[in-house]
Amino acid sequence: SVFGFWQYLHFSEAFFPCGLSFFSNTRKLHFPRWHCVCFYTLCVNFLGFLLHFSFSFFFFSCCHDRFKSSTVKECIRAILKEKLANVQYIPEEMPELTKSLSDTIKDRLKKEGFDRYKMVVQVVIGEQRGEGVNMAARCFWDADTDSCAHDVFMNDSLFCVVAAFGCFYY
Amino acid sequence: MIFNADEAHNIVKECIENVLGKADYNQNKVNQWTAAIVEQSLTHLVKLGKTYKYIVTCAVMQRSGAGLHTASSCFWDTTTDGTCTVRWENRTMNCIVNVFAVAIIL
Repeated sequence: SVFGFWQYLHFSEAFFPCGLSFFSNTRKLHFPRWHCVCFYTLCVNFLGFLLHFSFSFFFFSCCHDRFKSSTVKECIRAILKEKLANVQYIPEEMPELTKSLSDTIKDRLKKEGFDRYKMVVQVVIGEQRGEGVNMAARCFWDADTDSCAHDVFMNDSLFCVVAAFGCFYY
Repeated sequence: MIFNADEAHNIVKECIENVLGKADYNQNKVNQWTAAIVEQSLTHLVKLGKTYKYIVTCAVMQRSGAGLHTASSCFWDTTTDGTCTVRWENRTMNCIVNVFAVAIIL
């Protein structure tokens, strides 16, 4: 990025303090004394370094398309509603249905434009017979960028749980 | 760097056996069990010290003859990332644990 270039410019000055770049030549006019130049370059370097990080943090945290739980949840809900509204639990059809559902949701999320995310979509479909089911998920990841969303759909013959996870890649 | 699914499989299996052991399905405890399974598996996986982000999910279902299907779709780099599924069952319950490992490459 532009800021990165700006930072490296000052780095090059730190390595060649006699002024290889245009900026340090002009600066030498104002600060002719050797240690002054060095001190100034160091300060500018340090500031540039901080700035670079704050800017990159700003870009990473604000400007990329974040994996927003609410948006993802809406997507999942819409697809489940459309695909499962009047479906009955038929054991032979379920393997195909779970696969197609997870693929549809993944493709939909890809279109949503989470450019820098790897995505995992898990679909569980079970028969409603009054049996007990419990699900849990834990993740080890960067909580600043990565996120997950889930939704549950039920009708009188089946239940469906979808969990989607988004992992930012750097 | 390739995800070692066998290693993960063994770790998860051990955790499930640790937690569920010879227990029978108990509605009041199942919440605690699933949490314990995912947390233990995750800590063991992280202890391997590989540069992965991990997602661990666990479903425990009472055995009553009802069916359960699960599928997953992933959008990732197949050369580095990997998944592993463990199925476990005893007289009264079924347990399915899924591990997804997403490589961190800077």
